[in-house]
Amino acid sequence: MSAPILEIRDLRTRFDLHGGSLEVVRGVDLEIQPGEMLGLIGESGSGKTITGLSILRLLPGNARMSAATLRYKGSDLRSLDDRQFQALRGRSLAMIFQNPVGAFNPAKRVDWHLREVIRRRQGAQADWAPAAETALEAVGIPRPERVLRLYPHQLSGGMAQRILIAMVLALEPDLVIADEPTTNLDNIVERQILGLFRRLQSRLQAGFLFITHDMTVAATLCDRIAVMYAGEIVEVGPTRDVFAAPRHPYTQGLIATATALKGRAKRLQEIAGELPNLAALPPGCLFSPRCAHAMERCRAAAPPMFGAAAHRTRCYLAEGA
Amino acid sequence: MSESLLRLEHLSVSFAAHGAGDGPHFRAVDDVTLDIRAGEVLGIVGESGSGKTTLAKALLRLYRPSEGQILFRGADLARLGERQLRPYRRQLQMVFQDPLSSFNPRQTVADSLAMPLRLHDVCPRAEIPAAVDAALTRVGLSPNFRDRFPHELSGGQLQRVAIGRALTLSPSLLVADEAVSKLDVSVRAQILNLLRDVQEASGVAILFITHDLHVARYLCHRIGVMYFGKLVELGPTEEIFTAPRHPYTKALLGTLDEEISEDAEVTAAPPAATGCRYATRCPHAAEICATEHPPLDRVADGHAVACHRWREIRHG
Repeated sequence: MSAPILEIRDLRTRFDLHGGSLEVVRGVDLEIQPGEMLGLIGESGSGKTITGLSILRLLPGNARMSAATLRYKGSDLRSLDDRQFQALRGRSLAMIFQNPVGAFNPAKRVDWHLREVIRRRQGAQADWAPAAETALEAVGIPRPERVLRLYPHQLSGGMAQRILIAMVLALEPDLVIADEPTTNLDNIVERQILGLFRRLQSRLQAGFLFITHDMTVAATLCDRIAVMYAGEIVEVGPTRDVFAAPRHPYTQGLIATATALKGRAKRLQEIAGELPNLAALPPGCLFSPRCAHAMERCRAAAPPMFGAAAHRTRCYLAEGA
Repeated sequence: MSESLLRLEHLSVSFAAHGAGDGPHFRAVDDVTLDIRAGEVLGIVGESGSGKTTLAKALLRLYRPSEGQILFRGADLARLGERQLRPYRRQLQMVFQDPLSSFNPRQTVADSLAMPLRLHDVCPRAEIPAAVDAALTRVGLSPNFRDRFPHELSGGQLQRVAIGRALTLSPSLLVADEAVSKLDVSVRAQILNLLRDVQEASGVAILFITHDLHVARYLCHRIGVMYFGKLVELGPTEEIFTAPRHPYTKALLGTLDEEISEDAEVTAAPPAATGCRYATRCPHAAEICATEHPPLDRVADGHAVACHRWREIRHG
């Protein structure tokens, strides 16, 4: 296997709040290979978005991040100062957000945005216009010259997301972090945008971190998936393996719900209870209060990751798997 | 189950396209005729902008329809004033998408649950606390929740309270507008099961508005598909899923396929202003589709489609 695009060990992010601090990312390990689409799945509050923002140093001022390892193509990202990091971000490291219209400068037309990206890639003298039109055509925008003249507020959500994907295509980054890029879109448009992610993946040799709460989307798009719960990765493995034989009861519950909804289920299997409060976490395994299989040891001590390198699970049930 | 509870006749809702005034109007709901049967769960699916929420709000007279009738228990709700509507409101309740914003943040759960009982004078004052506890128990919450404030509850718990509140008046129709789409995935199944349980236990009819086809299939007996203000197809859930007739319904169901192709058709045309709204995107569009909007045509018992060419298009 070649050198990973991104290698993270023990990523921790903590927010300073009035009455103390809250650790929302609690020791995350991730690895993304060139050309790979890694799905990061979690519910709201699981820390998946903060993981993405931590990697790109886009955290708010009251957040503190640390990691044992944070390597991009073998070099240590932690050692870069803000200026050096800025040179990477928006050039080699790109992000696609959930709210596409908000990702644009509202006072500038579409052409300005594409010009910025293309000149960043090809140099200030680059003839940006043909490259911009090529990129827009590649994401299924029929008459690009018309779209280039529009302001962001004149774009629909689907159109704006298409243009952002065109900008990523033109930028040719090595790492793309996409945070719920289809969540606000209608089914048919969502489908089209997911198709464009396939296209991005086949045209760029980049690594992708695809953040989503939607098991079905992850299953159709991602090569590997990592499931997050309350700031921790509880299961990671090749998509096919995880879906065929999920080992963590939380993953099992999510997949059971998603599969039951797809078929003609008589009744949906529920995951009991609610997400834990990060300020008052339960002892031991964080999922144990909701878990139907919880044993005494689960409440006594948090389980480590079990399993072979490819498919690992933070659950005592997976011990020896 | 076949008895009609509420009937929409040629219902339209228009909004001024550029603020108030006599300028051009935009029809968010356009000539919809539809029966809601007693005790059924009727799903309305469509994309954002299809008019499904406007339809629900007009039916509850949160919007005033511009044309058409809302026939309920011998009255036309479209023509009634606020005061005359009041006795009917008790029969028609709603659960909204965002549970937090559908509660008064300064009222406890018990106050919120007691409010409809007081307003409609349902039971003697002394019996209200017991009724509140019963409402909580019915939706799977402990009576300990009565003194909590909305911000102290999770989204799933609040949505349970919202369902409980809607049911305190024993309505004959519950309108649920994207009632599970803001909830966490692991909690969604709980609320869907709860809706199903209370529906079966109380026999309340539910108009379930959603963009999620899987959720609609799980919960609904019949499904209506809307596209830019028009009801384009209506039928029993399994028929809609296994034998859809409208090209738009087929496209929507196509999004449920497993495979994502990088070469999938990626352009989208805006809807047509005249004729069939879907004609600009439809692979089967003919000359007539550009000029005349097709009426709902009977396909089979209880299954209707608004398409000029449904007979010619091979289905599958």
